[in-house]
This record gives sequence, structure tokens and C-alpha cells, in this order.
Amino acid sequence: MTVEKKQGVPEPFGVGEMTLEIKKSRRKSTLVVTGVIAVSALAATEISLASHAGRVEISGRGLLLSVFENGSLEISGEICDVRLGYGKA
Amino acid sequence: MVRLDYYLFGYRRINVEAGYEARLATLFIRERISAVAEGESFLIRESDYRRFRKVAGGRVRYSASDTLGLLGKIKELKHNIPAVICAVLMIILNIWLSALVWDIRVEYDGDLEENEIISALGEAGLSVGVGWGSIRTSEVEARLLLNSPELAFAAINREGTVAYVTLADKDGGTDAEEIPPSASNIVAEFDGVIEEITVFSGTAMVTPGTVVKRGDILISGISEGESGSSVTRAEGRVIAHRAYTVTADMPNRERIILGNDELVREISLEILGFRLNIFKNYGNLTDEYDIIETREVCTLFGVRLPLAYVREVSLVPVYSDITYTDAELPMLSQKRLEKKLADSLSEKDLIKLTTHGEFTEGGYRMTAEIVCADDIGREVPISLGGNGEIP
Repeated sequence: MTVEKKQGVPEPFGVGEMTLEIKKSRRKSTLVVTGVIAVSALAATEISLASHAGRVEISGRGLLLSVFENGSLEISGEICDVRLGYGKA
Repeated sequence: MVRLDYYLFGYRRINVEAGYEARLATLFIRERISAVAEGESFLIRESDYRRFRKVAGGRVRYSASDTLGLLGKIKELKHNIPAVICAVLMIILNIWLSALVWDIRVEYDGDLEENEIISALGEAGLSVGVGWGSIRTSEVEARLLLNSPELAFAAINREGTVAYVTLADKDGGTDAEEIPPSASNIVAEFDGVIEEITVFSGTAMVTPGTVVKRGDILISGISEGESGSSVTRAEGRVIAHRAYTVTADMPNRERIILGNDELVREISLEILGFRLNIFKNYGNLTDEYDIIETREVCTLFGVRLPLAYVREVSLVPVYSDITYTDAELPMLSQKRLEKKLADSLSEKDLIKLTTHGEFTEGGYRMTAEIVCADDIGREVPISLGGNGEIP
């Protein structure tokens, strides 16, 4: 039996899988996070995300959160600090 | 700032109670709904709103705005049908009117009268009120030249709704042939010592070795014969040794142009031939600088749209003051002198060249004393009462 993959449909993330990709320009940075299951805190200066793998805490100024159809998140603004933590809490 | 796709396809603003933003964001992630957080509210697409209502009902307390963006504006216009009809009619009318020739401006300096040109253009297919779509400029130009044998050149250019026509007569634009005078003398253009004289027509008034001054007659057009004097055109070649000096001054301070700064004068949008000014620099900009206009025409699938972005910049020169050292001045002065000598000695036989330089108050001066063999004859027409003097 062969299984055909549908083009354009994102593969589901495995449990404990999370990726972070950061693009930094002169003043504005963009952080794309996948594998997020919940947003713990949402403010212009701090955003906290939770995944099966752990948690991500982003702090900065003028942070803007965008959610995409595939479940990935984009955080843009002046990102000062990104902290990774083990565990969801 | 609203994303462009949100604006185009419509969006809604979801306001949520303070402290529930994170919860709502989690809901968007789980339900795979595209959203943008903006303060205490979220923006979601109009197409996702129904699904959102279904999943958020009971979980989160929220309030949603009406449809915003372009779709929202269109929905608002539903209640004002007459205004929409007027706007559409105005657009159609504007497009239709801009597709016609509204004015013809002719650039012509010839014998044909204005009404003759207008009727000739009309016969060729170009007149006020004709649609641009029915005009093939190359065909009109060809017909115009065929119908008007006096014309040698015709060019038609379109700018907005105006047709610019450039015409030229067959005999126009060419310089009249210089008619040689029927009676003339050859006189000395410079002081010198005659080295060689060759006469084709007329009478030689000097011999080799004669010292002549500027204006002296070298070959006369008046010849004495047995039957009396006759007037003719003097022709010949007179080579003389002449001495003169060439100087080249090099100042110790000089202002040079390093390059050009582009200063934006004007930015405008050109829609359907009408120019809409967006930005204009009213500063102390004069027309003494070169102006560059760039026009970017919008295209859609390779088709040129009646929309263009026009940008005018002035090239303002950037100057810099340079001071030369005493070691550099003679070298630079010599280069200037060499350039002057190259221009001065063209088509002359150099006999002697002496150069010397000296520091002056403002820099350095190089002087070249030249002795050369040169054709010093210049033809001057004989006029009644004139004696062939240089005017």
C-alpha cells in the first residue's frame, strides 16, 4: 500500500517537536515558532508560549503576535530576549 | 498595521476582556485560524469569522466589529446605490474621454498655413475627438507625407489626450550652401614672415621673406591688365613663420566637482493622463541643475495600465576645495599647457618651442613661446570702397 502525501498540507508535529526560526534586521526581528500548543501570556512586552517540548518566553518592545493557518506563530517587533524552558509550566 | 490580504478580503476586529487574550490566542492556534493580535483585540479574516463563532461560542466572551477593510467598504456602499452608480459612471466617462484626442499641438516652421496643416492631419486621420484606439500613428504619418508633398518629415507622439505633431519641410532644416564671393582678397590673419606663397588666382602682393602685419593684403583680387583693371576672386595659399605665446595658469586652490547629489524635486502619480502631485520640493531649487525624470508605468499581465509613477530629481553638484602643494603645481600646470599646445599646434608645422614656468601669487604659470609655419591667409570679400580689411 502506498500513501500519497497531499501537497501544501503541513505535516502534523510530533509530540515534543518545536522549531524556532529568527530573522533579525536592524531594528525589527521576526521569530517564527512552530509546534506551539498554547499561549500562556500575551502582552506587548512579553509573550509566553507552551509546547509539548517546553516553553518559550519572549520579551522585548512592541511585540506583535500573528497566528497562521498551519498553527505556526510569528512574533515581530523589537525582540530583546528569548528564553527556552523545560516543562510546560 | 493591517495585513494587505486582510484588508482586501475583509476582516473583523475581535475584542476580548482583559486577561483573556492568551486564552483566545490559544484557541486560534488549536483551531488553526489565522489571526493577528493588536493590543487587546485580534484581527481575523472575514472568511474565518463563521468558524470562529462556532468554536468560540461559550468558551470566550468577546465582541466582534462589523466587516472592515475593502469588503467592509463595499458592504457599506450597498446602502448608497446612487453614489455607487455615479462613481462607476464617472470612472467609465473618464476612461472613455481619456481615450479621445482632445488637443493637437503642432511644431512646424515652414510654408504651410495652420488651417492647411489641420486639414491635412484630418485627411490623414488625426483630428480632435477621434479615439486613440482608431489611430495608428505610423499610418497617419505616412498618409500625411503622401498627401502633402511639401513635407519631408512627420512624427506624431501621444501624451495623455494631447497629440504632439512635429513637421518639417523638404527644404527646411538644411543650411543654405555658402556661396563663394565673386571678388575677394586674401589678407594676413596674423603677423609673420612669409615663407611660401602659392597663387591660383589673383595677384601676389608679397614675396617670401616679407614681414607682414595682421590685415595686410597677401593676394589681391584686383589685377591690372592691358585693357584696364579687373576684379576676381583671390585664391592661393600663404605659409608664414609666426611667433606667439601660450600660457597655462594653475591656481594653488581649486574647486572641483566630486559628483552629483540626487535631490527629489517632485513625485507624482499619473492616472489616465492626469498628473496627481504627491510631493513637491518648494525649496531653493533652480532650473540650473540637470533634471532627470523617471517614469515607471504599471503593467498587469504585460498590459500597460494608464497609471504611472513619475519621479523628478535634480542633480545637484557636490563641490570640494583642493589645495595643491608647490611640488604638484608645476606638474599640473605642465599638463594644462600640453593640452593647450595640442589644440594650438594642430595643422601647423612646429619650428621652435621654448617653455618656462614661474610661481605666481595665486599658483604657478607655464608659458610656451612657439614659432611655427602656418597658413595665415584669410579670404575677405571685396566691397565697394573696401580695401580688404579684416572686419
